[in-house]
Amino acid sequence: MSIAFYIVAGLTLASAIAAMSLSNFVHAILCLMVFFAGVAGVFLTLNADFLAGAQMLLYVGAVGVLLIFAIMFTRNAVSELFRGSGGWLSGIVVATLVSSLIIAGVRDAYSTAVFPEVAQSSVKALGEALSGRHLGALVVTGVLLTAAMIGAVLVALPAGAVETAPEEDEA
Amino acid sequence: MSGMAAPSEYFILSALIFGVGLAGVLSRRNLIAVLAGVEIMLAAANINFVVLWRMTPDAGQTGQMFALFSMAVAAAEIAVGLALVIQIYRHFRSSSIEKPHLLKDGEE
Repeated sequence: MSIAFYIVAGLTLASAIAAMSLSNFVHAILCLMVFFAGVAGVFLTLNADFLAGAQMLLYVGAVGVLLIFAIMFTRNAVSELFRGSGGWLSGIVVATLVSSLIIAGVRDAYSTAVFPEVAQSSVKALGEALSGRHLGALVVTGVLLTAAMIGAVLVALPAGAVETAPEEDEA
Repeated sequence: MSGMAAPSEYFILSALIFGVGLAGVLSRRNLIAVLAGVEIMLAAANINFVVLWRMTPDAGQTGQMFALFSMAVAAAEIAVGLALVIQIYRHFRSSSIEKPHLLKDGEE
């Protein structure tokens, strides 16, 4: 179990670094899909089976394909990989600082913590929680997703496509 | 403990992933790469939610619920973000993050 975690963690971290540093955007997005699959593997080592499946379907399937399509639409749009005038260096320095700060805090707070034996994920328990205690959040999420879908369609419409509706001319 | 990795190792992994995503967001030039960095940071947060769910069996499924809803919000975010990127590309013929600066003062 522990060996599986180290393998999955190494793969996940390496593919995340590759996704953020490769200059070929299609390769970078493919590495990002490997990263999402690695996160699903991390979920599996934590007994969160349903979340691992949802992660595969939603991220590796939907988000990955969406990003690939966006890359195709904006092909060869940016020649340089990183921001100019030393901006990339300060970004990496800030990220290193934040990351090491979190690691220092976590090592302090959870140095002796262990996982309890019991926690088992079952889709039945998840479904009961989703349709019982968390029903309001589920409904709000549905409204949010609908609003986001309509908003994405409106934003991506070409200029002049909504001329028949004058009050929506901000698109 | 059946040879399971310690929670702190999971937390360190997610902190490292968060750092990688943050470095990408702060230093990449392409808007789509910036969105991918945001997705990486959200995935790191999701790992933390699931680890904390696994650590607190008395709290029911709340941790997994948080991870599920955060996935839904991330999906909405990436859809709207990519629509904005497409529109910016259409307007500026570029998806560089340094191109759209019409709102900066003193520039027209």
